[in-house]
Amino acid sequence: MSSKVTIISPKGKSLISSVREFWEYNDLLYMLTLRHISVRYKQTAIGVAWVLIQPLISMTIFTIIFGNLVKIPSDGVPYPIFSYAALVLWGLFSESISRSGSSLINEAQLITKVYFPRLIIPLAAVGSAWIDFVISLFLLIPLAFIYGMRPTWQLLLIPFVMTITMILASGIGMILAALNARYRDFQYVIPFLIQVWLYASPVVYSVQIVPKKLLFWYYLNPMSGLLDTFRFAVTGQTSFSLTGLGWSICCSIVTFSLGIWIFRSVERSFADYI
Amino acid sequence: MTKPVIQVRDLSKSYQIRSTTKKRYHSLRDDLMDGIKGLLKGPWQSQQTETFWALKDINFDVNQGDIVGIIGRNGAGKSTLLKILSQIVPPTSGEITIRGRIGSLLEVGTGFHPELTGRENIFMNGAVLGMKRLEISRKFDEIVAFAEVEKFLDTPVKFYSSGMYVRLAFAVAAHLEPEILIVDEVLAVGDAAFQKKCLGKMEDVSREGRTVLFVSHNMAAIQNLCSRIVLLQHGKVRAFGNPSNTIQIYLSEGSSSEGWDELLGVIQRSGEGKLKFSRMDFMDSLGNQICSPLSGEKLIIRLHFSSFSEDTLYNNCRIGIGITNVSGINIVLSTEMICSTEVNIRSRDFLDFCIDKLPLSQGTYSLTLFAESNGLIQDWLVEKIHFSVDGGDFYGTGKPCPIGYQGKSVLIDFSVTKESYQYA
Repeated sequence: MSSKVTIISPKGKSLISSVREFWEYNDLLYMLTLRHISVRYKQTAIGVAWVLIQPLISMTIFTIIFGNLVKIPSDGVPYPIFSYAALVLWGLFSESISRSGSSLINEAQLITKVYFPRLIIPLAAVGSAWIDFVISLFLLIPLAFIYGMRPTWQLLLIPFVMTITMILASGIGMILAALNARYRDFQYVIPFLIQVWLYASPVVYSVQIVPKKLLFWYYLNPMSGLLDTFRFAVTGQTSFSLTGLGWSICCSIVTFSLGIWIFRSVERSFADYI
Repeated sequence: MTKPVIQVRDLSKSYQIRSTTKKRYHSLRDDLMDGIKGLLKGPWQSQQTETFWALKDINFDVNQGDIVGIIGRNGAGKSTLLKILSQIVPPTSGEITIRGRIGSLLEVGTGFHPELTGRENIFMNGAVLGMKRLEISRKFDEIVAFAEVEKFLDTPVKFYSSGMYVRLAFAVAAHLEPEILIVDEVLAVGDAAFQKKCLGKMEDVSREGRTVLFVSHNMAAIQNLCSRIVLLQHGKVRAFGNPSNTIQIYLSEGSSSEGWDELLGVIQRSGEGKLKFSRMDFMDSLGNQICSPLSGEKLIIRLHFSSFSEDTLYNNCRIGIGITNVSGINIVLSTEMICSTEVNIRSRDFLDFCIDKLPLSQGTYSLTLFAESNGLIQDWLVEKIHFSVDGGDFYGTGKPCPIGYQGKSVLIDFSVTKESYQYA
């Protein structure tokens, strides 16, 4: 008989035992991430190709409207690659928060029937968005090459920016998931939030067109610094603000910690409300 | 003496009920409005909420290797108790100490996804139940063999028959190796063969020294498997102890509360429903009403009828009585026996069903009542009435029926002679 002793009481678990338990269940995190991916593209004719096609379509639309019609300056980079680079990172961010935001509700069946660290659910949703991101990178890098970018050391920034983006998105995702479990209203709020956020971030346009005196406020959006840096990492030509990036890193860590704290304080009652 | 593997101490769980219905989810608007209303009213006027105690001051210990059954009426708190033990919902107060790895099966096939193949679902379901990937790979062939789905491993489970689906799901669960297994009504699904397989597996589990806690309405399974039983009633432990006594309490209390006097109150019944059984009495040879008959004594079962229209006469009625023993086996069926000639019945009539020498041994039984008029089934109550037979002296020898046969066997008159039987 193992010496594992579990105490169930109205008080929650300590942070340390939660972390240990989370680690014990890492296989479940892996399986749930995998399930997200395989279920998503089951019974589609072209399968995972959809991951590539979605941002490509957005890129085409943006290129026609903003690149050719509105003629937004793109810092000397061809507009398609300018927008596609940002869209790939934006996809990671927006998919992470929208999937994790609704993840608890979608997995209500699991939550009411088995016990496991609940945090796995939103994190698996972020994990599935991450896999999509990795797949789109396989198109992004050759595309950049075709448009004349030559890979240099700055490509190493990609995993770094990716990690920060995922930390930020997980934090927001956990908060939204917890709120959504309690107040279904957030189902309707999340899509708008993402849409507004898209236009508040340098995805379809460059930071250069933001008036200088508003720049401080603009960079308060943690995605501004990250998108800038990512675009630089892919093209090697655009500029990015180190202060902006620093702020994004701080923001991500704070948001993540806040997310964990909120999530942990309500996770035990999910099964009672969902 | 080793410490009990599960110690439940003063466990309570309450829910706040707003107005009359319990809200499943909140909307932000409601909470904001309530907040504003609260502010306007002032904090001294608290909101109209009612506290409902799903469980109140539950105490019991479970020792290693015990198979503990949890029984009780619907709403007695069985599922809540299992959910707290499985850590799905937190208790409101009290504490549970569990020593060992717990595995809980509140549902068969949790985490199954219809789009995934059998193979993928085995891994998914295993992970959900807390198994490691390595562990699942090791047992994979065993699981597949147990489920008998080799041919369909790479087919999405949405194309499975429901039997295959359940078999696969149970196969995964059966290969989970926790030290403490918590099972909820899993036995209620599947066909008889499957249920037998489940029960067999549970017995194996306990033989290996592991502890099992399970909820069931199947008294036969409970009585056969369990070493101890917790009887819950209105969120409290009504009784905790040996199976037959506890089941006895459960059945006897059940019959007085929802049983024979008010058969009209039974909702689960089939048939046209124009003519219904309204009540049933047991009477002894002197016509006194009795609660539990004695084996070997005369028993009169009086069936009362009621109908919507007082004056309608229901022609050519056939009334049947079936008696089922604790293992769920019909031991007495008497559709034709009771009325060799068909009778006509109207509301407020009653029929007496007389048994000269009750052939049932001491034990608990359930009764099925059946009424048919002109070939149309009017009322059919399947195993809704539970009663117990007390040990009587059937053979007039003063010896009781052997304990192992009690509640399972029928007593018949016979004689033993050393001389050749005198044929007529």
